[in-house]
Amino acid sequence: MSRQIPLTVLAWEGPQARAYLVRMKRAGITPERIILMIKDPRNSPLAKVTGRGLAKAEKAQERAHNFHPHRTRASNPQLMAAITNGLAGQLEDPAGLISEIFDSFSYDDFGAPVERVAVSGYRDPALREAIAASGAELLLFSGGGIMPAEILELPGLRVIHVHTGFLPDVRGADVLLWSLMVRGRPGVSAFLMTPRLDDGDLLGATELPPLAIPLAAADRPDDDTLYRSLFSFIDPLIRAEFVISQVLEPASDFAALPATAQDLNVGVTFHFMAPQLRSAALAQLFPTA
Amino acid sequence: MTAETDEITAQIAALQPATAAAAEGQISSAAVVSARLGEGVAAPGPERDEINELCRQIDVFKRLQADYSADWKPDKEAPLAAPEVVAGATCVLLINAEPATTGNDPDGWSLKCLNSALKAIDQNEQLPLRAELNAWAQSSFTAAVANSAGAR
Repeated sequence: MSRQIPLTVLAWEGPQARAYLVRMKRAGITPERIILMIKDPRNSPLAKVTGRGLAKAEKAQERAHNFHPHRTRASNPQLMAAITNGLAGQLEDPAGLISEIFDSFSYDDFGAPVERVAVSGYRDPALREAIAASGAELLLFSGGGIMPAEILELPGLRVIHVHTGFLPDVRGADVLLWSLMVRGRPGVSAFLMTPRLDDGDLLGATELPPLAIPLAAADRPDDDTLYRSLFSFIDPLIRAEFVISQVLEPASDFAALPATAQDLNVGVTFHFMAPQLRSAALAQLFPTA
Repeated sequence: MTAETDEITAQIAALQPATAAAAEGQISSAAVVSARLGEGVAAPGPERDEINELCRQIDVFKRLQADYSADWKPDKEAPLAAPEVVAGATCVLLINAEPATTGNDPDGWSLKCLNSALKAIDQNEQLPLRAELNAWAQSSFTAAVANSAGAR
């Protein structure tokens, strides 16, 4: 028995949007709609691609945005086994979730109407128009960074973002790696977005058990592959697990989700790691077995 | 701080240009660097905020402007800080990275400073005393990683 909730998933094609939908399905939750952003190859706000052109663009986007996870799965089975073993301490059946996210996935399989919108990016007026026309009141953001104020200011709209750092202490970029180095464990938070970075009211935040994914030296790929695997598998699954099990599943009144203001006087805003520091953080996440 | 890093700091402080007043609504990177070079590790609050702005320029814009606006509008046309000022900023960041090297960095702010220092050295091949700053950064990096929460 599926429960429909008044939530629109704003899908930016890739592992994160897919992880949200797959995990929702596992929880027996159906969003009221999915808005799938399709990068318009014409890149023009005036002449949008439509019909077969849009379908072709969607296919191209699907291949491009999921290239690294597919390649990692095909070429690094030992890494995949290590990741699923490591994540088993954080969530149920990571291997099954990863399979559902990347094998035979379709946005049309989640029981919700899918609106495909050709856009050049988040600032494209077509996206704001599509969200406004949908009447969405609660949106789940699946991209990174910040959302333009023009969208956040739509009347009655609240936008949920999930961040793999414990807020308000850990803001910014590369936060899963920063969390591991600075706090010795990952954290995760869900908040209502503002036009600024990671400062919205909190729907929930927690620190997770320490995470280590041991790899035999012979199975260890280069840092770029490890870093991509973080954003292909680990980060999306942690975010999806948290927001669905801790925010959406327990909620009964979505118009009044309990949210608390962050203390903006505490915390550090981190930036992307320098390669040397990133390598050290990856060595802590993926220690040699 | 060691005798060596004190010496590097003194040499870099001596290189700093006389700071001209920034234009209205602008903050002078040179003024921030000169003021901070004579100080130790910044206290939480406004002192750290100034250093956060140096980090933000180096990390996000990948350059240090001579002046920047308090509202942080990026300005690709703005003149860059002199190499001596960038060396000074790097030195300030390494001074503030010191707590991370002893595991006394509970919120990670010092490790963040070290991260920006590593990038500043990498981004600026013409930095005065670059080899000395890099040796300092590498020594700090090794100690900071060994003493990080993730390593304990």
